Amino acid sequence: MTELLHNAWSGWTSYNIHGKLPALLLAVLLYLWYCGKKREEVLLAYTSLMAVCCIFPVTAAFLMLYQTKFYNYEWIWSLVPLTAVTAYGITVFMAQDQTGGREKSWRNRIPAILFAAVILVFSGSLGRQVWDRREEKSQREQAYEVLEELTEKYSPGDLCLWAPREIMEFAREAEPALRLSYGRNIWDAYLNAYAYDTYEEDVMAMERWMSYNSGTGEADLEAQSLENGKMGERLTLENCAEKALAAGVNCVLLSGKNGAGAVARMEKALGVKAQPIQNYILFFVGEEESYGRTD
Amino acid sequence: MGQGEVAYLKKSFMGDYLIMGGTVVTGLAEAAHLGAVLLDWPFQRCALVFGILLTVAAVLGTGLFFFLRKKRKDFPESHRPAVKGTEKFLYFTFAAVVSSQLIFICMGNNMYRGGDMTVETVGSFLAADGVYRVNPLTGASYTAGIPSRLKILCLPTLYASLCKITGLPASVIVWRVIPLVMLFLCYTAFFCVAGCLFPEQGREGGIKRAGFMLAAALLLWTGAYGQGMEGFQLLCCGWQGITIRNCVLLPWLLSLCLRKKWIYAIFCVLAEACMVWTLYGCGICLLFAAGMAGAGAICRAWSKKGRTRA
Repeated sequence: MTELLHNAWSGWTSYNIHGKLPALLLAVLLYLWYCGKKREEVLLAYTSLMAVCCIFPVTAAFLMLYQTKFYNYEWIWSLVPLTAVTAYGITVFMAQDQTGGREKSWRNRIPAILFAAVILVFSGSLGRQVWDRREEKSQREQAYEVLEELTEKYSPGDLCLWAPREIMEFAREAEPALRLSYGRNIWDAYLNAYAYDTYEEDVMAMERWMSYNSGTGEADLEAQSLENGKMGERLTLENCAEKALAAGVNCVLLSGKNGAGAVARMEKALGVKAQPIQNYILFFVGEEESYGRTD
Repeated sequence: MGQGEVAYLKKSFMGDYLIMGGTVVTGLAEAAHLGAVLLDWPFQRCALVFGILLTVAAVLGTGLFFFLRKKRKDFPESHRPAVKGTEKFLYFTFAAVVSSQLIFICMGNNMYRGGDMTVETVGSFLAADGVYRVNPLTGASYTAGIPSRLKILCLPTLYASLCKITGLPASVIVWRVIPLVMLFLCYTAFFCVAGCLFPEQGREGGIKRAGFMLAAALLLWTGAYGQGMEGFQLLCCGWQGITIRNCVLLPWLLSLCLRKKWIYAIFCVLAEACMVWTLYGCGICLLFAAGMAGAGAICRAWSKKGRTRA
């Protein structure tokens, strides 16, 4: 409950960091209550009450409990018809400007339209992107190219892949028959809520080593302190290759940043020859002929 | 409120039938999905069952539509007076804004997949020929399983069945086709809300409804800045159950509550339970409808008290 209260307390602040639509809603509600347009008083009463419940931490915490802990603070705002009521307020504001006796011409309404447009623009994020779309697009295209070449060479149903994060991220959406040594829930923790499965420490170590290796091209990772406060083991290329084989991996992709020394060490550890594939180095553990695709 | 407006609100809108049809499709997908989960059907059979149910429902629905159109006087009018002047200009601007949103979705590079694995799930259903036979994120068998409340949600089966029926890849169905359908249904729901908030007949009502739709479309663009905002959900995550609830079911439910058509609210509550993780079926739609009913009762009591004092 304390954690829920804390989330509810900080939720309202973080909900308003990037945009101000909830603040615009409150302004619209004030306008609608005080301008005398109370024909939809049931809608206004409900929206006002729910907005207050979502802002006040104690009621917000209860609403978060009701919506289940699967969802974060921002989802309790689903209870508030934000778009509908804000659009209603804007329409009433614009309509009020043109009634009251004789209808005004468009020229007389321009200031009100401009005012509403400016308010709307400043309620948004002013062009700030939630995530880097271009970066993700180029990563996806590169990963798809690598995976296409890989699955042309080997039957995807027979592969268990261990590769850098930028490949693993898109591997299962590009080729659903492919098996991975670990999924993207290792770095996207929210996805862990979809299953009770957890990863063994060896698999976590493989991910740590691959992340380090694809970033630096270094073959050995010195002991680091882990999230749980314990000290992790020193991870060498050889002991990670051993963990991978034990986990059933038969296809390893290393970043092209690796030098000849690291490639030779991986060849020795897995007992296979390296092959270049796009900007990566492929190690396939198995009979080439039996896995080669004929179609 | 005039008698004409009261009569207008008593009628069902065309949008009501469209969204109700959508909830029926969700129900059919849920039936096929439960069959696959409980009886361990191969996915091929699950998709076939869904296809048959969908065909039967489409035939019955079309028949019912024409029957009601012929018999019932309160059926939505198909011949509306032509829009002109300001209303025409507002609808034209609205169409331009919606077109820009269509282009944004069709570009296909704007889907936000953080915390979402729908495409992988759909792909795993098709590849493994079964529902949740493998972990969608790794392709390996589950070691500890998945929460049962999550296992009964039907959207992955619906999308995978559509992939099977149309032959389109999972990424096209999930990231392009479904968000486009949801955009259409979202504006359908907002048309219902506009009809309830501005039931005035004639030119004035038409202008207000058009203005409301334009304001809603602009607000959805403005709100495309972060998770939890309707605009962001609709434009970047249009395939998620939570988006369908927030952008289609809740605006429609709002219009139903404003018209006091409480019986139809059951469709929203059931549809939400089929696609979003709820508290034993008690989701946001139920609380929303209860809140609107409660607010209505308080307002009536308040005005009665005011009249007594006067």
